[in-house]
Amino acid sequence: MKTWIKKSVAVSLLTVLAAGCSGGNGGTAGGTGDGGKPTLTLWMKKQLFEDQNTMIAERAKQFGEENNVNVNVEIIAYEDFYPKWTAAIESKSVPDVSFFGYQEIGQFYGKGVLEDLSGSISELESANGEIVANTKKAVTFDGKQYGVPFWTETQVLYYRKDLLEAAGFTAPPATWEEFREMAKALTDTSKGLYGAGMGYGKGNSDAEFLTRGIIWSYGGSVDTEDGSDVIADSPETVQAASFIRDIFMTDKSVPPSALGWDDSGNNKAYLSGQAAMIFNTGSVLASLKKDNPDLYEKTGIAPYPAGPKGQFIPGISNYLGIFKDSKNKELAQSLIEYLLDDEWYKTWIEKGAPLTAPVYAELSKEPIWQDEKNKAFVESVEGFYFLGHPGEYNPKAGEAFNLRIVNDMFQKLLLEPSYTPEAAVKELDAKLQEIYGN
Amino acid sequence: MRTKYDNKLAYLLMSPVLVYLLAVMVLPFGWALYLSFTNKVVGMPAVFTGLSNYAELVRDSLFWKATWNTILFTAAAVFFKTVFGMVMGLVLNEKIVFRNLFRVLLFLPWTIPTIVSVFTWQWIYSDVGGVLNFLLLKLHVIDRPLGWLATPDLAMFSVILVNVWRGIPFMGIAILAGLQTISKDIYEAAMLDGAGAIKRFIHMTLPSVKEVTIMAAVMTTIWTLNDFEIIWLLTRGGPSNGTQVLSTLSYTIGFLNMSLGKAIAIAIMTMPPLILLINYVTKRSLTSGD
Repeated sequence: MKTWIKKSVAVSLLTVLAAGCSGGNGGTAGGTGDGGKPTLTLWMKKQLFEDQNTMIAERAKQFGEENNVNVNVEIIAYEDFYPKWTAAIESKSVPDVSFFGYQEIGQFYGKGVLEDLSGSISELESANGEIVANTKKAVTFDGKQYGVPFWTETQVLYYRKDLLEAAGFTAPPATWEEFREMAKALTDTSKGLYGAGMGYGKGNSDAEFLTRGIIWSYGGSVDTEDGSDVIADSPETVQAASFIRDIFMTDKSVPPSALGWDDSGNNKAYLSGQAAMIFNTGSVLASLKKDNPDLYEKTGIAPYPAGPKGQFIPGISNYLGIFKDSKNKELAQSLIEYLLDDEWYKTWIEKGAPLTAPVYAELSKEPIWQDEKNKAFVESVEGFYFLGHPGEYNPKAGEAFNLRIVNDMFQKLLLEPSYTPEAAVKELDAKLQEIYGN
Repeated sequence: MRTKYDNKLAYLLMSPVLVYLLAVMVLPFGWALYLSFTNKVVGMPAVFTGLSNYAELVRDSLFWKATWNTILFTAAAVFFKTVFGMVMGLVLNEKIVFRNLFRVLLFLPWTIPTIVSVFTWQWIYSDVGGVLNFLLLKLHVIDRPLGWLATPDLAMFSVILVNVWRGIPFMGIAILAGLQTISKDIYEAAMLDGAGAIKRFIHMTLPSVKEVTIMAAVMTTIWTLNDFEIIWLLTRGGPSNGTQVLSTLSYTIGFLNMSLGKAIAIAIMTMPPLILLINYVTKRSLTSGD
């Protein structure tokens, strides 16, 4: 290449690079900000209650003022996290502190990108009291914790007390079989009323948890016992799959649109009076209390029904974690500890009750959690079962959850009359084997 | 006469564009191509695995299902956008009352942000209070609300409908522009010769707007092949992968499964038809320019 061409290209390239480098501080990574102050970035999940989002931003700002750092808080909708995490990890431009569900902690631990936070948990427990053991267990790998428990959510049964009474039922279903029977009795398609609001839209995470809860209570599994051998293909899993299929296809107790529902589908069905019973976290109760006091009064809350092997409640726990590539790890740990200071934390968690339940055992004894409708949300936490059951939670179980393969299998099972539960469970087993690398 | 100095100046002036293209297109594309030959997973180093991603995809029935869905979605959407775009263009070309108001109203779907229109369509399709089910029930076309996004066929129909609704204005504008270049005298002469409306449309209107219609249809084919938002926001590729297209499959594998190598391989495999279409548009538009 001629020298002058090389020179032209070099000059242009440098111009482009200079232009690129001079463009503000739009990156997400830490490092130093204005006036040499370090900048911490916090990625927080957008909460249903605006008060909680505001409180997080204010608390982070307060931390910044007390510690002479800039804190940049990004409130992000859950469904937007994956593309952001992916880009951040690849570009090594990670936030200093990020929200994670425990399933993501497992998945990212498997990629080796998360920091061990066992020390922070110990410090928090010495300062504020015991953190519920189950929430720590879900993020413990090789004896170390890779996320600090922040709050829990519990799926409970919402039922219409008035409709159950009118149909001659005096109590909510205690078993899955009772649930099926009641759902069938409550269904009246001429009024557009269905007994059960169970959504199975693609990507629906509520369904992934609910289905596991049912399968476990029948003695089945969609994972392993030892972390390697998949045990999904069992008569118990088939029995649970048949049970769900019958509610949809034999009894027709579920609205036909349920196979297209996202996570908000069952909320809408219950709030609109289309479904008499649904499984959901505290988000529905909070909306009812605020917007529909009449329906709130008619609503009963009960824990998951039990199956032949007992009651299995899938745990939903949420964490704060630190990426290994964070540039301000110590400050990031301090920020997490600041956000979990029990005095401030108690107010924050109660602003979101009953959707967000506390991780400190002591706080669950507060009056707000003794309310008849709120009790089930904290009482279930001790008995949480996590992905991977009957084995320990592991990154592969998190991957299986995030890929929604259980949901995919049920979509096919509930759409194709010729597709049997046996064939569905076999296919599910094969997909799980792939994930577990067998 | 061109001098050596002119050549140097030309190259010098061109170099920023070349560097720009190199930086934002050639290098990322080359890097992406390389990654498609690796087992790259987010957070892990890439290991060269040759054609394994491509081989896996070719053996994967879901990939072929997504390919078929992409073809079906694109073909149906482009066909209906062209037909209704033609109708829209013809109507708006006539001297009807409130023509300007109709023009604004009919172009609205194109200007509304996708996220807003998708949320509106979610409500339209809803079986609780959704206007589509309400109208069909009132007209006794159906006897109970349909789950428009709950079965693979209906869901495919529904996402195509939204894409068509959004895409008609572009076709309409393009065809209307073509129609406005046709002289009214030709039509008057044809009418004097006794040509009816259908004959005038087939023998005069269609040939006059053929070029612009083909160009607009090819452009819209490129956009429809790449459409992601409508399907992702309405169905996420479900139910039972009934609306899974290559763009949503690539996103799922890349961002949810974090298998970047495989996701990029899907994107690379969708490129040949896109390159052919872009080449067609470029050649045709440059030829027209000449």
